[in-house]
Amino acid sequence: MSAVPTRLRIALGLTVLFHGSLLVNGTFRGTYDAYVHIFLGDHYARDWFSTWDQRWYTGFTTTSYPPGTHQAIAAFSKLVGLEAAFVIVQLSALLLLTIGVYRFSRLWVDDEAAANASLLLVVSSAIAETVHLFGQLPTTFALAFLLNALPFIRSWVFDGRIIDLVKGTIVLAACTAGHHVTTLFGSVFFLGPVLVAGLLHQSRTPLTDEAAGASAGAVERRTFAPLIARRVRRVLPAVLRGAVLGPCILGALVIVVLPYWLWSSSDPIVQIPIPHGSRANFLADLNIGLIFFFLPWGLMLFAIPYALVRATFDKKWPLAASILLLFVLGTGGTTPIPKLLLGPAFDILTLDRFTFWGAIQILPLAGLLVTSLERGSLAQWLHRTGGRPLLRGVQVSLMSAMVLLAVFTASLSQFRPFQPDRIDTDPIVAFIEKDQHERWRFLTLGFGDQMAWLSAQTTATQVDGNYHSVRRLPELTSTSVERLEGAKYRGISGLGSLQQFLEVPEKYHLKFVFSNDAFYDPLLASLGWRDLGPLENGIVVWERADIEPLPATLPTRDVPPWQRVMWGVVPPTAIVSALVVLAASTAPIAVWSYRTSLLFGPSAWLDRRLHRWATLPANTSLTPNRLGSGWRPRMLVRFRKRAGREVDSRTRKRRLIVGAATAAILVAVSTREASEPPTPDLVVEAFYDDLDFRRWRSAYDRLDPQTRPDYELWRLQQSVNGGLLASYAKLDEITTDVRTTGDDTAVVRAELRYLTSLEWYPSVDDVDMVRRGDDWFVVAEPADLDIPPDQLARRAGVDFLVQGRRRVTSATSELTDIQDRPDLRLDDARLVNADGRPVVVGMVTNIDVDPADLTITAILRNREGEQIARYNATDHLRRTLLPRESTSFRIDFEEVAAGTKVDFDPLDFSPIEFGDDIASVEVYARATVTSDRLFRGLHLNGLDIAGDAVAGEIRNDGTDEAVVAMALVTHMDQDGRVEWVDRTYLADAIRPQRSQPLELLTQPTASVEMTDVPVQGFASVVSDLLGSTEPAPNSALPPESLALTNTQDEHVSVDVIAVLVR
Amino acid sequence: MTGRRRLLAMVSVVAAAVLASACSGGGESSAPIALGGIDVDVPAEVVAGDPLVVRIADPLPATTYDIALDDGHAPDRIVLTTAGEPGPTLSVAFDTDGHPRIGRALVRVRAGRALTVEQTTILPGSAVDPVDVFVGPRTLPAGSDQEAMLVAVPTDAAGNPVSAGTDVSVISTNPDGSTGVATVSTNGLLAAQTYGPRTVAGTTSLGLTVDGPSGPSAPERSYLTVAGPIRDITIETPSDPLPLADGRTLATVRTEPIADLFGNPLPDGTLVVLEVDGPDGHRILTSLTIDTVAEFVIEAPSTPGTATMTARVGTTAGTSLVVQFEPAVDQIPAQIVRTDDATMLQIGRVRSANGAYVPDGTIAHIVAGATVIDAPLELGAASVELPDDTREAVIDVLGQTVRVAAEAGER
Repeated sequence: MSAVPTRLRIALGLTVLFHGSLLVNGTFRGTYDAYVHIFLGDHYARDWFSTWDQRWYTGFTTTSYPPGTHQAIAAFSKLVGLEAAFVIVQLSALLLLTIGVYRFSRLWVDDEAAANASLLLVVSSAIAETVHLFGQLPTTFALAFLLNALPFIRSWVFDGRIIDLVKGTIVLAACTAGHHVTTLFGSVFFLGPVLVAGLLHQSRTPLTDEAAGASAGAVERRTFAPLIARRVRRVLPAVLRGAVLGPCILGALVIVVLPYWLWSSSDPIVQIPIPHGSRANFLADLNIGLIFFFLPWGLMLFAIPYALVRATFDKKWPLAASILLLFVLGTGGTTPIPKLLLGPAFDILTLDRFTFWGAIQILPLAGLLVTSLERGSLAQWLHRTGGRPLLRGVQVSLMSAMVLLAVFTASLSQFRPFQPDRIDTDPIVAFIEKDQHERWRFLTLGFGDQMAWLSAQTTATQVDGNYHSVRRLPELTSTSVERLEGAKYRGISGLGSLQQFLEVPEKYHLKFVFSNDAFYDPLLASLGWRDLGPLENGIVVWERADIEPLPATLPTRDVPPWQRVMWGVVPPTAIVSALVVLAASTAPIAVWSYRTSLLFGPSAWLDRRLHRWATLPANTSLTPNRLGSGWRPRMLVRFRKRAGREVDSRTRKRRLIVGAATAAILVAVSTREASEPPTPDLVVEAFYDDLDFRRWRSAYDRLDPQTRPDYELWRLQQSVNGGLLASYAKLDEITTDVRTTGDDTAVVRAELRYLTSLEWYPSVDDVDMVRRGDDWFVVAEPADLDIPPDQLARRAGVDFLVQGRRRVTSATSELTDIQDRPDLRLDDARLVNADGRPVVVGMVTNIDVDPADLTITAILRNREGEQIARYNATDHLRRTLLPRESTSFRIDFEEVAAGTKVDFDPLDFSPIEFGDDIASVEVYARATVTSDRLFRGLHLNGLDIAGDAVAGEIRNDGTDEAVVAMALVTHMDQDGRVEWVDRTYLADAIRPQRSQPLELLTQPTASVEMTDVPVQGFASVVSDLLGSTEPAPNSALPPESLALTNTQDEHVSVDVIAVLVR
Repeated sequence: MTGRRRLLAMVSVVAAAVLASACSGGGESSAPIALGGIDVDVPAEVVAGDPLVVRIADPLPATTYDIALDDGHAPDRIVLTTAGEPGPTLSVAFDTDGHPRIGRALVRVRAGRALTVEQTTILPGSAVDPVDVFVGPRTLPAGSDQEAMLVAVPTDAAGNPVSAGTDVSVISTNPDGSTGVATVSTNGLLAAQTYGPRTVAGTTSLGLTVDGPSGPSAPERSYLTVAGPIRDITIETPSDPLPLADGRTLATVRTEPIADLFGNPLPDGTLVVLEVDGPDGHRILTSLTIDTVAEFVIEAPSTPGTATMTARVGTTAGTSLVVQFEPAVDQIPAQIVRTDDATMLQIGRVRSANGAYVPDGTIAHIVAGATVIDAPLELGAASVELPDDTREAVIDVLGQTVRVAAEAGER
């Protein structure tokens, strides 16, 4: 390497200043991937040669991802800690990448343009996004080595120095150690154009022993074969060296991460593809397009035409072709071409990687553009057109735009967060380490990628993870949900996947949930999780009772020792060797190398034969060689000529006026549509959208100015309306229909669909509208005039404290500390066929004097006694029972996912079909003593049945607010045996001493058939009902006064349950 | 190449030598072992914790004796060499404290090629403190057929279960103050005693001793007898007059003290359900017992009439109480007024029996032809726009109804 150009030095300095300062300030903390790499770095820091990590997904193998960057983080973390180690490795990769871009650019353009390219890299929005928004480390790390390897490889292929082959292979090996995909695709998109362009150049370069300075004037039949032979002979050495290069690249790709390839072949990824924004239609969703296409390309989008033209006509068309291909592949689902080209891989690859590579690959040509704008033909044309002010204006504008866009991109996550606010993980870690809580698995909700940072600080395990490729639990691989912790972003599909873990937590030893998102509160509460309250960082801890701790030794699937040694030794060795090679290449040390043309043996014979075939006939007309002269299109030549021509001031003014007028027209057209007054339905849609996003002022402004209360009062009225929809729902869909309309009034029916953590919640509102002037407004709802009669309500209660008999001790548990289980009586249990699905329904009573926290499990067995399915009662029951209290229950057998072809949707799942193979059923009712969730303040008033509906009121006689309430409807036959159980969540909260209307359907939501499959019950006391068809005298059947009768002569019992109380 | 071949040959020779050495078994003679050549005396039984003395008669001089005690779990071994002169009986003692497994054990004595094997039995020692005791379930309903079981697992100092037949005495102190003593023997690993429920609710405490009153003991255990089937539940007749049927005022209803068939009071926190069948439909209220009484706060119905109240605990329903709710409203002033712009129904001001306006938010249910409107009253009044062709409206406020005709004339 010759002297380092000044601009490259500046680029390196700016990299440290710009990216370094941002990284030190912690931009990586708000990114998607940084903490995943830090977590994996932590894995190697804890045990360098371990290839199995228990902490995610009930265990996964780390040979599933090249370890180079993670081992680098691990090494530095011993000195400076994990986060600082990440910053060091990322910044080092960026510096190496800056050098790599310069070296790669030198293969295509002159020194000045290459240095410009390295400067452009610093302010590239693609880099800013990749580093500061996505937090990708292996991508930058591996690309840095790839670009630095290319000059060595080119030198080997076309100059034949063996030392360059060795150097290139070593640096490529380092690339693989960081990210094998970069080596794989980089060979196609980066190395491919270099080799093709080199071969073309070589084919046009006469050999020394050819007829000096002349070539055939025109291709004739008699000269065709000799000319072909001559070209072949010119490229033959390079082709042969290329053939040698192939195995070396393959070796670098395979050997360095051999355990990865072995894992990949023995344990292929079989899971539902996870949607990625880069595969979307960017025109249909401009926000996605902005992130995955427009932002990474940035101003380079405007440079693409220049780059393609310039490259095409400067004999760099392989580079142009590669850029174009990357551009097209990066368009994702906007065009069908990427899917056609990639086939099934389209659904696996993240296509933004192509855009990133394209944005890097265009830099050499963008460097040329900078040169041209600085003092080339473009600069001349601008100067002629608008004088020095225009030239300087364009230069400064473009430069400013590049810098501003890079700053905007790098700081985008600061003003539009993609991650939750930073979570102080120390209190969570302290909680996990206290009282041996690490003996159970935990789950985080609403942590974003910070869940990886939490995992990096503890050895406790969780069922979720942040590296979806290694998931193996069918509950996870059968869904397109990337992470359970962000399940709500995948709608019902995501929540269904989450529910499978929360409903049967004992299967995974899942005892604790750390929630940073109140959205999940109703779900957790309804499934029997207990709110332990917030930690000092605001994270709420939820606990589930009656979960066994993990066994002392967990199963592992470690790879053979030789692979572990290889994994711990080869990749870091490759990286260190590559750094030594690159450092040595910059030093003025003469390294002797054998230069070979590889033309010995059979090859030499072939060369001699080709030389003989290439001899032109004696009377061929010869013309001088045109080496170095490129083909230029007339348009380009004309432009360059015109660029140098003088322009008078009148023409200059005319051009400026035309340009300004065009801009003004575009602005006027684009703003005209926005000034039209919206129609009533649009106002209603905007109103609900404002409410959904808590834009209170904007929503208030849409209320009728003549009838609305003042803003403070309206906000106060809104604030007292809590409940499932007001506090825990997200508006998913709204359709509006103008029902009636007059001159100045209208009624708009708004059909709303909310997503809650429990289910979709549909709602229909008829909204009164009124016109004031040209604008439509929403008529505000009248205020609630009802006032509770008592100014101070006092209610007596009984408090319970589950304290055990624990001493202050560090022992795990003591015999005397173990609580007795409350006695339960299983009053009824039967298997029914509901729409072809097996469902167990029944009733259980707490006959103890202690409050009970229930877990009811049913197992289906076939004739051989083998278990077909096992599941718990989830939210079709009252979860806690006071002494002498009963609840009906329903157990649906919701097994893993519907199948492999469709995504899992609990509203449309294909559970176990009812068939003859169900020979027996076992029902287990067990409980632990509890002192929580014993609120019983909800009363039913004015309950009456009319047709197929029960109507009435729920009155909250307690002193706490029932934020989320549920009505449990039990259908019973004439003998009082349970036939079916339904439940309905109420939309609104029930404030203390106030009432809410209740309306329920009394028809079962499924077509239910009774079965005679024997049911065996396991509880403290089991009713005789289970063994016979006659009702037992002591069964806990609801008395007649409770049971209403619906149109099918069924008894219907209604119970209201406060699921979430604040 | 020659050097490399030489190196390979040397490595092969060394490897072959190592292999041959490994296969030879360390150079021991492969001559057969003679059984019974040593005169060994081993006691037939030894109690765990006592030393096991092994005596070798006429030991040979300058001979190494390898003596092993093998209980199938963790063999002990003593190796000693006799003096050069013939000596007296050789005696060694094994410590049996470290042997957690009781039962048969072998003593092997070997000297050269002579081997003698004798058998002995290690017996469990006497029980030591504390004795592990378990009782469950912890609660029994009075008069039911359920039983609680006490299980005691006495062990010796080494953790072995004591010998079968060891006596365990359990002293129970019942809620009524009576006591009882039951003596059971261990069988297998444990001793067990069942206790049926009593008719008096309370705690039965259990204490035990092993091998007599001064033997090892355990912390006290207990189980609860709780109230059984409910005898009857009656609702206390309200001492204060019931509120008017204004749909708003609250009244308190209490049960009489609730007890079971044996007179045991219901513990605090037991769920009691009150079902009310009244003029405005069914009501279901829940409450907890506090001092055997459950208290309900009931909202006055919005329609006057009789209401039947029944309290229930579990499946047991009590005696019903019938009460009367009087009307809250006597008159409903209302008129239909036609103006140039609209037809308005003006209601109010509606007053309750004591002359005050009915509570804000009280609903006036209006039926005017096909139009049905629920209008909340504020300060006893409301104004509602009716369809222009309305001739008559029926207004219902808290169960009282009034019919209002439109004034003659057209707008």
